[in-house]
Amino acid sequence: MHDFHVPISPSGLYWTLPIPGKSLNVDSRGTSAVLEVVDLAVIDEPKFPKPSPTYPAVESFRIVWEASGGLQTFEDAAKHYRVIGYPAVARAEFAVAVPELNFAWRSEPLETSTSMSALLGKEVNGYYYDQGTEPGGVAIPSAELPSRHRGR
Amino acid sequence: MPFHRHPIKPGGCPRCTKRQFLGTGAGLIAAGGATLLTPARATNQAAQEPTGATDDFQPFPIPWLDKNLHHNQIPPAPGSLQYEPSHIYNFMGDVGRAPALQGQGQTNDGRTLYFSTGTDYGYMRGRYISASGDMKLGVFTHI
Repeated sequence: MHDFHVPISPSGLYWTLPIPGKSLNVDSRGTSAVLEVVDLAVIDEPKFPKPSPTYPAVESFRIVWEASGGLQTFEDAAKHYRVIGYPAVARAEFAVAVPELNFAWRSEPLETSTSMSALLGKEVNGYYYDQGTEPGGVAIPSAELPSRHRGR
Repeated sequence: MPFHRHPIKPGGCPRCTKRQFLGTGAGLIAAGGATLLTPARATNQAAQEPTGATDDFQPFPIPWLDKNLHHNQIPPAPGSLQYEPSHIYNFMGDVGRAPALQGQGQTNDGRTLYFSTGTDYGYMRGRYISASGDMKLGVFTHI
């Protein structure tokens, strides 16, 4: 067995890490998204969740979301979150390499994967939920390079 | 501000992961999911494997367990959207979640290994409040 993830941070954030903005492309309508990260430094923890040695590894992945239904709103006041999102079909392709174990693996192409459940949309939680911020009103800032701007 | 810091619980939880590993007997592969490690271990790992951000810049995790005792929230039933898709708290922005991917691939020595329905990827892009208490912009993935 192999299990690839990033270490848990001192803040308690687990298996979640910052990535460059260019790694994520959400279409303007919010109905599809592509997440692509190449050669991300991760660890392989083969006996997870049992305590075990970890090995430095790299992982590349591409995940594609396509909305498969209408826009839905749901929230949980007790857990302080509200989501406006689409049910989606997600597909994945990824590859990993663990030099110390002389192990590498590459998935079949994206189209061969399946997902039982997926979504994409907008969310507010915690402080922002408590402030009454609406997910649909969240604007994601963008800073466009002059050369890209001239090309349009 | 009602920020929530949620340290990892010593001793972990009864069900540390939502990943299930299936394969051909030779093994399987997974990426994406949830776990709990002891604080000391987590700290040591973080020190050895920097992720590119200092702790002060990092957001908080979702501060509670779901009914299955997972820290990362998962759908209550296949296809259900009634769950918290984000992995970070005090957040607003774009979110995507694919918590039940499956497929297969080949190893460098020709074996077929599968990734199973616990394979979980996601993204979060927008504003968040960091561990330092400051509002920040960022893009994150959960693997």
